[in-house]
Amino acid sequence: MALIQELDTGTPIRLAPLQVALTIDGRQVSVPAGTSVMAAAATMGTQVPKLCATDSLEAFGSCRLCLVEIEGRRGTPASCTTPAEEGMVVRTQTPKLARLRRGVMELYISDHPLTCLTCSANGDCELQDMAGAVGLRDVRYGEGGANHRDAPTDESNPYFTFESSKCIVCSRCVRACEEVQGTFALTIEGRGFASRVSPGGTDFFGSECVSCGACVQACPTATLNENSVIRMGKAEHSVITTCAYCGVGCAFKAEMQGEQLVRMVPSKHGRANEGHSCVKGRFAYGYATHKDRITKPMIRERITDPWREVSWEEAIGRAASEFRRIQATYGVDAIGGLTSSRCTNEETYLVQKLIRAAFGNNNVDTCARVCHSPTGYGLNATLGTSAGTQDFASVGEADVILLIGANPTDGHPVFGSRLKKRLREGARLIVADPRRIDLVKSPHVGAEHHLALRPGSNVALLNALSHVVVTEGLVDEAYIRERCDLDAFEAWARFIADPRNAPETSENVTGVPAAEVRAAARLYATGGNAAIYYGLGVTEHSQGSTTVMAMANLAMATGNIGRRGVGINPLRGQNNVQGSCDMGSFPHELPGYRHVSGDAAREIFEKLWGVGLRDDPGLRIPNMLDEAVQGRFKGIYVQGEDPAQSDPDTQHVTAGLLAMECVVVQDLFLNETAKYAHVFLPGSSFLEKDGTFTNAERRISPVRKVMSPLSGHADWQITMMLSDALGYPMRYDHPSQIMDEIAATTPSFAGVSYEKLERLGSIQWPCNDAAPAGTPIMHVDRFVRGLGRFMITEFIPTDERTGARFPLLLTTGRILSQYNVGAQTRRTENSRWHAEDVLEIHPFDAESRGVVDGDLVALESRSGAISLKAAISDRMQPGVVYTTFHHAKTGANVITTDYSDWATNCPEYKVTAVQVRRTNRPSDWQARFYEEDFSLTRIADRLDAAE
Amino acid sequence: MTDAAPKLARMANQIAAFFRSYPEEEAVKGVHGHIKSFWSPRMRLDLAARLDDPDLPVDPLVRAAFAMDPELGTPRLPASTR
Repeated sequence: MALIQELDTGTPIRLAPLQVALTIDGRQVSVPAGTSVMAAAATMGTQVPKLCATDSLEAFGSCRLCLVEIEGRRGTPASCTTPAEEGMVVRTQTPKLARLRRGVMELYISDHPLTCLTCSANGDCELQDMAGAVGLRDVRYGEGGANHRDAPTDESNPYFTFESSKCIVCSRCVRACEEVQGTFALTIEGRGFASRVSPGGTDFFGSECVSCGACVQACPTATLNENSVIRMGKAEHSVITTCAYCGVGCAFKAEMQGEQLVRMVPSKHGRANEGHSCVKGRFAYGYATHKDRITKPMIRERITDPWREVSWEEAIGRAASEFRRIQATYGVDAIGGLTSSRCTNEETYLVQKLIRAAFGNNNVDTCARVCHSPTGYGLNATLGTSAGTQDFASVGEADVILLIGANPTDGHPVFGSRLKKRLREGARLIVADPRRIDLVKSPHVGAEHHLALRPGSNVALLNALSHVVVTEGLVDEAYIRERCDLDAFEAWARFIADPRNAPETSENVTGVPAAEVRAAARLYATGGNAAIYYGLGVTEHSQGSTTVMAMANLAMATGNIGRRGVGINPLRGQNNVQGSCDMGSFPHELPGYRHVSGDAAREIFEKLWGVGLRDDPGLRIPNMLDEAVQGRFKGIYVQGEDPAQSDPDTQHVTAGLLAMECVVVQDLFLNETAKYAHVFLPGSSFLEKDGTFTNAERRISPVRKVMSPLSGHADWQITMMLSDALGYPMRYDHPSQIMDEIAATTPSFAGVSYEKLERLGSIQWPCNDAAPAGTPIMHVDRFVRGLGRFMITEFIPTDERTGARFPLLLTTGRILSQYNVGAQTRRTENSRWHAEDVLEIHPFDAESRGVVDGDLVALESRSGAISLKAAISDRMQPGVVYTTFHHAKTGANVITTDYSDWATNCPEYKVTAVQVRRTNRPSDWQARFYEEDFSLTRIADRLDAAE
Repeated sequence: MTDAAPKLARMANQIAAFFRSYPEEEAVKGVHGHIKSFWSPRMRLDLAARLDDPDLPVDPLVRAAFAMDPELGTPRLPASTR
């Protein structure tokens, strides 16, 4: 294996139907019109010397190193800023060019420390390469003149160092921050010789920098360099793999020294990210080798006992015998399991297989239950498939973007950057969100309409938007006639045209002025390609599924499904939420979203698995917990999930876990759920196994093993061991064989194989005979269900109401630097940006309670109480408070209730009636947490390391 | 042991509230189909056992769904299920 070197064409290769042919150094080459001479040369293998150019950025033309000669033109134009033209004859190497380039390099090197042998970029420095390329042998200017060799070094960022003495002021970092990331945190300060890169007059950590790493990647020298590279040196080989954080699913090169990870570098060939990254995927991988990792299996009789390290045989044997004992005592349905959206498709498939085939029931669920299960229900009911309609690149062709209940610059940062880029190109944005998220107004982008609705009124708002479309004659009648169920449309149109759905009526519910709603609806319907992107602000409501259907109605009514630039796109929370759903993790569905009652689908698996399968739905997570409290559900196998922190109404969750007789947790860490466990099976990180993840755009991407599992086994192997011990042996030597089984049994994956993934890089399902290379855009000629079905979406207020006791509404979410329950990111330097969860509260609500910024406040609901610090923010609307759930010790879900979506039981995280008051102590729950954080996590009797 | 029925009734009533927008026959079928597709047999049994309880607020559409198909409330459970 070697380091993967990606071709840098210097400037982007344009996408244009017209090709132009030119001659470079005597060879003919043809490129799309608009492509630069530099990039044209690169496509034929000729690297024109360059410093300020890199193909993730537009041409800049400042370094004067890429000069070429062109027949018929005077002078020596820069090849990066000169478009290739038909018939052009170019020479990239002449004595004159060599002389000019040496002169340029001589000037650069005259103000650059010549410490190459000890420099962190030694062997990976474009300045060094260019000095070699132009044959620089001497610098005539001496060392006595003005220079920047004493310029300061900024080590404030935990992940990279800014050594400005090595800066050549090529502006690649500044441009990367603008063009790729869209944050505009960097600038060039000063003029002429005094020009220096600056993070806005402060240090990097204190600046607006979001640590995406784009500047570090763009830097051609050691000026911006990863601390891990400074510490460890250059990697010797690299492997392409897929990020294990959010649902964007970025492709990375894991750059390695042996089995040690040196750095993660985003891959240009990753179609989800196209060379970009965020602070989590790029830098926050230290958790994988954190000292808190549990690497030995452990068991205990009671949860109050200390854990005891045991052999794999003993731990697996205990889990299997307990599960069988429970089934013999309480019935076959008394146990179940949870698959993980953080594990691979193959692992998820095996867990549901274990439960259906070895447990003998359908009690399998996944964390998608508590995030995007309404997406599956709503899109399936209207369009016929449980997934988003577009690829991410499609947003580049959107003219109007309706963003509902999502905060992509925090939750899905790499997609957020794509979105901002399109907005800078002129697309128009409508944001529907109770909070003023960053995209409402940030550098060079802004929302044309911010529909700051009250939490819980999504359906009323979407109905009002559709009301305007229908009553103002903005419906795409031809599209509906051709593509949709006309009876359903007519019934829906009558419903939606009713005055109760008019913006003027719903204004009382949503709080959004009718005129703003009407203007937004007109923009969505008439502004060109209109695309909807949404997140958990849509789904995590008692009407989550209804909202998804209301969005589908709006998109169908305006003809905005079935081509590039439009569609309905869920932004999935975790890396493999889509995949875990695809793999049959829901208790009513087999892989490929086929209901368990369907004889034909069931028979496929029964034949292959050699066992009869149940035809009735099993229990969902909340149902399992309810039945546990009722004394009927007694054992659970939890792979890579932490319901004790992530699921709502924590005290109900832990009551359920406490009532069980055997809780088996398979995870990297002793998480919150493990406090209630009897068997702990040490899991493996995404770096320690092969497999695939499926992202929010249905893209199946390879996960590749770069180091040995710390526990000795990958998660799929642990599931196999458990299945063996339960008397249902599974035989797979490699995850590719599991994928072969998935392909053989699941029509939408029929054409997927590891060989094809190796060849294509990634594949968007459906992938079958009809679409052998996958399907970037769904529903192109017809909807998957045949005719698109409009659903009637009556607004029904949630039962969760404010009142005298709980007058405020709490809504929860996430921030950029932390991820989900924080088990990974809290064990990285990311916590320097977000060391604790805080309560965002509007100044009016704070003032009326005597709360000042930083005060400790008690947050109370009918479910429970916690204490946390207040952060006064006018991003909130009066009457609404907000917090995150990243820190277990905060216990945000102690506050949330057991109310849930009518169709899927997805919890209503986004609407909880609360009160806020000043306090000076932790809540009773928190005091108990601190005590149990010690008492329920003790480990005794460590096995000898040699065992 | 807590009583499962009140929560199940609330869930069923939420389902009924969605389907109420449709003509009654379609609404009853909708409620029936949803419960049959997504609820475990035990959950259906637990609610069915309490449908006659006057203290349990159950939407008429839910009652109609169970009345339409007696098997909805009397599912076959595996022999070993307690």
